[in-house]
Amino acid sequence: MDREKKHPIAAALAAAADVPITVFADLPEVVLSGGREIRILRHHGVREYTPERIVISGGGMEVEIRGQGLQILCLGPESLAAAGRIDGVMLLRREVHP
Amino acid sequence: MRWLWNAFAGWVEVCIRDPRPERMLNLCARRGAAVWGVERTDEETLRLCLRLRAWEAVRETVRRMGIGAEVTGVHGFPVLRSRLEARPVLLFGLPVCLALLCFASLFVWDVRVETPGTADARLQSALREVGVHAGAYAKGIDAKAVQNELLLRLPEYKWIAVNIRGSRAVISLRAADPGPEYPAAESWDLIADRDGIITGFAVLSGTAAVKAGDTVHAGDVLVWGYETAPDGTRRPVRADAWCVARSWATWQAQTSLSVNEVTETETCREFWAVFGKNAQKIWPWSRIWQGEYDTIVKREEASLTLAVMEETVLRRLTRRRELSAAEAEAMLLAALRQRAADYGEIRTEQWHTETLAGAYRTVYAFEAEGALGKPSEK
Repeated sequence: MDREKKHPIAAALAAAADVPITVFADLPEVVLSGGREIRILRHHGVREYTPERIVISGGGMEVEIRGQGLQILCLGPESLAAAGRIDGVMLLRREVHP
Repeated sequence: MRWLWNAFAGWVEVCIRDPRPERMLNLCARRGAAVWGVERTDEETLRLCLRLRAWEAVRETVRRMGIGAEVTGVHGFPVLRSRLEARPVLLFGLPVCLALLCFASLFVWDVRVETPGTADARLQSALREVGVHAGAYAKGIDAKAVQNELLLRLPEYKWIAVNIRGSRAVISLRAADPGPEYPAAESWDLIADRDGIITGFAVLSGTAAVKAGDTVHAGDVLVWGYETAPDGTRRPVRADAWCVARSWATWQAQTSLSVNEVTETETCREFWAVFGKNAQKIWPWSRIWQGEYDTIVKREEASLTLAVMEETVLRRLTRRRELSAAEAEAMLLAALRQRAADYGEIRTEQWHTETLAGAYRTVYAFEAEGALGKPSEK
């Protein structure tokens, strides 16, 4: 519901073509490989980075990675790869107040 | 591949000291500069790597944003190039040396004869004459033509191979068989070399002394070494005939009740780098071998002086094993049959094996049909 509100055209196109909404909208995509490596596509920057916590901005939301010995393997304009012992990945919605 | 590209383009290690070092990461991401090896060492310190060109693009912005950045290392080909530019002799000498090495590798600088004991002066002279010598253009040596030419010039060899391996010409040789030795006499008789009944007989030269169906003993004359002319005079000849006979014999052979059996218990591969006449083991670093062992050496030559040698070591263990009667009989019978094959084709055979004090003994009786006769010694 929330997705359709923010990206109504992209959501409609994705529903019609039966493909993920990330094909049409600039939304982050998270790929977790086991508990050791994570890749985030279409990020909007790094908000916080410590070996225990990485917070990635993804437009209207944030992705929080918790773990131990976290290391950013590669950071590009659109992708980020991090490795380490990953204990949890959390999606934090950024509330927009009128 | 990415590492190779980064090394080619050059990359820097940067240490960021800032209350919010993530600002540097976001700046690089916004500018499209890929960052890798990011490591947070403490609360305000971040270490990261980025390409040399990307660092040059963001350096001024980093300074203006007030981010404390310190380059701790510069790596890659551009650094090497700038270092070499300060050493012009090395910069130009290295390619010249490489070019000379490549040019020199087009020629033969070493001629090696693989078969030991054949490095005689005639061979060396013939090799020089056919164009295989130090300094010869390697591609210009036609191995087939050289082999044929050498075989014509050196009849004492029946097989010659010329292999050009890099800058080395390897000559492999096989000496020609000397051929059968005949008695030096001008004439001789043909005599029986064993007892037998002659089943086929035709004189090729000389005068027949026997005929088909005759029984002969070892040493009997089969063909006399002369021919009679129409006027009655005798002319000495070297007697020869096609003579086939049936022969019988009873032989025996024996072996002990146990044999030494060699087994390969362990194999190990070792790698050596060979510089000229010196060899240095590459891997494994150490290994102690005791007892008996065989080695198989495989050598790959990179250049005239540099080679890599793979040595496969097969460790042997000799142990005493008891022989069964069947094994002993099979072994002895095979040896006896091999020897009996000298008599021709074996028609019938009988054998039995018995155990004596500390040994197996096989008694073998056979009938064979084959060629008979040898020149007598006068």
